[in-house]
Amino acid sequence: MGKTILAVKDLKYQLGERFVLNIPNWEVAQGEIYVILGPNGSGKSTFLRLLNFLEFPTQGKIFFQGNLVEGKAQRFSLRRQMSLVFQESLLFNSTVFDNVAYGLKIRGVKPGEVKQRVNKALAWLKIEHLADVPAYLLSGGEAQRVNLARSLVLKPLIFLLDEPLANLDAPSREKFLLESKRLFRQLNLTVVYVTHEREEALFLADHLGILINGYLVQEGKPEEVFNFPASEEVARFVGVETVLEGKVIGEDNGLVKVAVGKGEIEVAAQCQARKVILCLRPEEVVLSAQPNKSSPRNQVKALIKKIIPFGYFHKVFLDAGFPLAAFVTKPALEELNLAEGKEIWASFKATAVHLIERE
Amino acid sequence: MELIWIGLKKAVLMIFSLNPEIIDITLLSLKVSGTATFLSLFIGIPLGVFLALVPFRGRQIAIALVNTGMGLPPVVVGLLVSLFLWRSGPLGFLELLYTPTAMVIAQVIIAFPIVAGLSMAAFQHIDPKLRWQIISLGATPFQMVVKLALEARLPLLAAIMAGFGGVISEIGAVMMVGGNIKGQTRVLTTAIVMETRMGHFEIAIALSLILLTLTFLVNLVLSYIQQRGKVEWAKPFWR
Repeated sequence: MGKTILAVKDLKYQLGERFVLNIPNWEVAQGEIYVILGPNGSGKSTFLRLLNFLEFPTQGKIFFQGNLVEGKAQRFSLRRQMSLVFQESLLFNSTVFDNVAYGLKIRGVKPGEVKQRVNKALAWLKIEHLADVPAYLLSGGEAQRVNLARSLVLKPLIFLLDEPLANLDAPSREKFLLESKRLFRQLNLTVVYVTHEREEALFLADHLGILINGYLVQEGKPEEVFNFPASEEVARFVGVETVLEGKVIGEDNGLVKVAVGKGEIEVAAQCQARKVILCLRPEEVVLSAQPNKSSPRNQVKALIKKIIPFGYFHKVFLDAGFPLAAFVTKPALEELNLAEGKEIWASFKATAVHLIERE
Repeated sequence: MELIWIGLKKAVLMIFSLNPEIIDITLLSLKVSGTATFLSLFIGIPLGVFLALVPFRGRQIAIALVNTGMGLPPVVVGLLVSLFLWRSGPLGFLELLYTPTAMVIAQVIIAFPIVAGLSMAAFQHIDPKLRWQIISLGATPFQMVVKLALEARLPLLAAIMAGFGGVISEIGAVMMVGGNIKGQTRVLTTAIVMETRMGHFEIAIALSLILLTLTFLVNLVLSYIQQRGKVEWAKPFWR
């Protein structure tokens, strides 16, 4: 990842008495995919609009490549180097080609070049065949592809996306996500992507920020954030799974062997990727004082790092050469005599692990 | 009944014989109302855009004023313009009263609130997020307004049609500020009133037919522009 391209300082956005956003510090690096994950009404969309200068913060500064962005002219010229894609396609009442050509035309690009660049953008999103179709005849998925093409054709330095998949059905979403990520990398884009879907965040993010009630409550690599939520509210929102990044080192008979941290995990899955993300729910992890006799596929000795009460259960954070979390009931906690710093056997089935292909 | 029948026959003959006086009257009507509509677009559309897109103190009052203006009685406008253009009035020195220019002025005052009110509604009807989207794609504020106008072309053309319809058919103002002077300020509506009063029903019918046809043709052209390129994509639900 490159140098910081966009940064904000002391950003506040207020509506009446209420803080919609309060972000002391935030930055995104050149070529990075930064995902902002947060529940509805957390201020995610507002944040994107502030970054795109569509609205103005009550207070705070925005820096582009280290320089403070000030004044109408600077904001305008920087806005022309970014592009924001909304959840709704918001297409113009004209053909697909004219929709995608709009941004180029208002920049005074010559017709020949417009044609060439639009066709290229349509090809990126595999919608060349729709060029002459009026926008209102498109399906939701097609419309969103056109929407993306309309922004990508401008070759933005910074690409902002506001829940672009929210209106698509699950299969289109998955396909769209795969292609989008490939495209972002291919075009070496800096991306700020806003969503409330954890799977999207895990799949896309180089860097993840959790936004709750207008506050950026945690930042870091996705697996860090998912495994070590900084607070209870983050934990509740990101879910409670253990999330591990790993490399596939072997596959045999529907059993994938993945190197994770200093250990290995076997997963019952089919897999073509080399890099994967593994998710494991804490209730699938069994703790015992002695090795489990039914010999599950995955069995490791682990060090107890931390024990936190979590509703009816206690959540036990373990180091097994990779981070691992388990739920235990209060009686089990006492029976096993668990305490921070002690060692214990942890086991889980190969079928309990959920595998997400990443690259 | 016979009166109507004979009147209609004579009227059709008169139209096809290309009576020069009738042609002059028709052309003047078109010129005055066309010019007035055209000019009212330059006041009405920017005003409508401004009221729709720019928040400011007193906006509600301004909108109420424009909406009132949409129903302005032509005779009141006629009186107002007469007062200003009267020989001893504030603009009397221009010597415009009883000229086509005075008629255009009066009709602009009638038409521009109609155009402003309807184009305001047209712009307000557009999803506010579309404004953000256009700006985000790199448009200047002016480019954004142009794009929005293109997106709202259907209701905008309806605004133009309503403006033209309002002035081509009005009589109070043109009568008062134009004076219905033969060969100078006589237009279709004023001529119809006069000929009817004088019992020349065939001429009045001929002029009325022309007025209707004219209005129809202008609206036909505007409707064609409005509906051009629109595909019927939703099948009628009753089939």
